[in-house]
Amino acid sequence: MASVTLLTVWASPFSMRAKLALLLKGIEHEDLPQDLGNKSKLLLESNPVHKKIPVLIHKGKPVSESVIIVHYIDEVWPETSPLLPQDAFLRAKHRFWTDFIDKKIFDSLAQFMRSSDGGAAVNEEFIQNCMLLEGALAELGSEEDGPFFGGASMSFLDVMLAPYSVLIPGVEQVMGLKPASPEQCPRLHKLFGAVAEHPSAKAALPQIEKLKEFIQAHFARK
Amino acid sequence: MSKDSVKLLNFWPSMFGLRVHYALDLKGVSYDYQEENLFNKSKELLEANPIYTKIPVLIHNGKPICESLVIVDYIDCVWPGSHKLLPEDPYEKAVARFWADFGDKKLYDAGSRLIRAMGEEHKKAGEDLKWALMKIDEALGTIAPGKPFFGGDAMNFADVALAPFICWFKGYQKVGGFVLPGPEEWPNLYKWVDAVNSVDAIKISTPSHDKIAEFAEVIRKRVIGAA
Repeated sequence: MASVTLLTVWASPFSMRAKLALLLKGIEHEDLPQDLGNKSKLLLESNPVHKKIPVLIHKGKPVSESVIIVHYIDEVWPETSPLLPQDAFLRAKHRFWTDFIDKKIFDSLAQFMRSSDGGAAVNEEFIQNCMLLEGALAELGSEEDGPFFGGASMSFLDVMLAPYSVLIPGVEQVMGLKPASPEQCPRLHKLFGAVAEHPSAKAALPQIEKLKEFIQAHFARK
Repeated sequence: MSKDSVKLLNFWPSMFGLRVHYALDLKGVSYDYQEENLFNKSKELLEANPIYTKIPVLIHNGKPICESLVIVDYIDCVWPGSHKLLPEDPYEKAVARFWADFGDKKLYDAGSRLIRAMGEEHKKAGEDLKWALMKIDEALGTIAPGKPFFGGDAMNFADVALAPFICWFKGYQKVGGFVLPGPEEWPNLYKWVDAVNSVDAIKISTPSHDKIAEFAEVIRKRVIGAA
């Protein structure tokens, strides 16, 4: 087995984060796609508690949970593309907003996708959450430095958020999600645009058209 | 050198707030404490945590840090000298973070459902809680065999994240109407409980288990009344 293996599911935003972190740091790895309908022995042995992806296996030892994986990658390979800031308070901000993305952005998007009534109320909540994230971007990243939370280069929080640059358009185009407008979230729009141009992100994230097919097959209301 | 100003905004039964107490107390950091009334939140809390308006919040030299595990991580960064909570080795760090996260995703989640759900969901929550504690028992045996804590001889990040649930055991059992399996079934867990309870720093801020149980029952009665 390769020294670094990533158990993935290409459509999962959590899987995309781990992949992106490895690519940003130029870490050679084996990408092993998983079938969640028929979980492999390797997956069940590597993540016996949650049985979920992504899982990073480094020198035979498994690391689970995307946020923990990205922390681990940043700590083991700190020289290239450092992701977390050095300052303790800024690190806390990156962790707080990462948790916000998982609790609020992901959750409201997932609720919208599962809603049976068109999801207008949860869509509104989703937009409000994006606007809060826009506020965080204004607080943490000066526009002159660059489009990302990390300025000109992607940082920890950018890696956590990057998958939404394809997920949001996918859900918008297949399921009619109303995203936050460029007027409501100008910097977030620029950030997603910059993600779309970034070579590592292009390699880590699926094409929107392919994601749309997946969303159509699994979530679209009949 | 000017003195650090450290203040914890909390609500006494919160296991999340207790994590912050434990981290600060283990490191011997002096701090001010402000008890919040969650039905009448202070202006300070609303300004310090405008996103969630929740406790705990740590205010360090005027800057607020929110979310208990983010706070504990921060505390470990800022006061690394005494009682380091996160191991140096990245893999051991990842293992500690995993079990802290498990506390949120599985233990807290089950406990919360146990208190707030009715019927079949309430029953399932009880089973899920026991499963989570069983997993912690197993983990202790694998990660630090023969040692009392996840951190080996001393409490680490995972121990600090999970220990606050100990004072809720009585409350969970009362609300759930069951008795948790004992040391014969979960030897590692109960050795861990005893070890945690023996740490002097832990004794400083842990609320009375009986008071927590009373509090849990009050919430449960309200939930049932509203159902």
